[in-house]
Amino acid sequence: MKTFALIAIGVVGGILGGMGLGGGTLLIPLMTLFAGVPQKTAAAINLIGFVPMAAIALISHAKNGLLQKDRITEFAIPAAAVCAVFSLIAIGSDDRMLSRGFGIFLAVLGAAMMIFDALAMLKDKLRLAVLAIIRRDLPYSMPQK
Amino acid sequence: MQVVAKYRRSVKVFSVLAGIAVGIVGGLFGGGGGMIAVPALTLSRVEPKKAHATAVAVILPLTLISGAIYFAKGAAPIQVALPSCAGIIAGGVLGALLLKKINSTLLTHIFYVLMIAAGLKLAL
Repeated sequence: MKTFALIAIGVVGGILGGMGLGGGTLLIPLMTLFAGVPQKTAAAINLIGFVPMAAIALISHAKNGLLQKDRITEFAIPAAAVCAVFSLIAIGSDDRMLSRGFGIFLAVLGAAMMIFDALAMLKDKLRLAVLAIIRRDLPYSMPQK
Repeated sequence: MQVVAKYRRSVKVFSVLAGIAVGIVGGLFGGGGGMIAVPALTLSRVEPKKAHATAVAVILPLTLISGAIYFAKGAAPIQVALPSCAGIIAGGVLGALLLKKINSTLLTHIFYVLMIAAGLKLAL
């Protein structure tokens, strides 16, 4: 029973990941909330399970020339060093506490992204509205003969 | 020229700081690093498509490092890892195929709502 639940949760997370939405962000809570998997185990599975997909995606992105190479080193070297240290810290920490921390992270990030998206959309709409007004007014504001 | 040099330096500092943030989240929670890497790259003037691709290049080495650490410390028992990883791989193929057929704006918004709901459930 639990095996089937795990497969199903994996499929859901995989679909989201394959669509580029960040599969792990929902895979981890699905595993901890619905399959009773401890946070660290869910984290480990998220890390390992997405490696093949990420590798395939990376090869195709590289072929399509989509990688900004100068940015990768600046970004990845500090990230990798810090990541190793914090992985070790996580291994020694309490599952419940980590899970709570991840929950806060998810909620804050989700809300922030939603607000950013809404603002961007509003900006676009506003720009279009202003353009429409300018275009409509143009003939009237022009000097009449 | 000085302005350009200054700009380059500030982009570098920003990248390093963002990299540290990605490392902390990725290491501590085993996921969610990409959710920071993509907007951080976009903010430092990488176009969205390239930002997604470059984020994968940044995240992949991290997942290998922290995945190895978590695995070595016994955090991934095989009876849990095997079915869920099989599911992830199958789902990944499906997701890539579905991508072309689905309204992604709507999906993104549903995704945000789910993120917030799951986050609150875990935090409270």
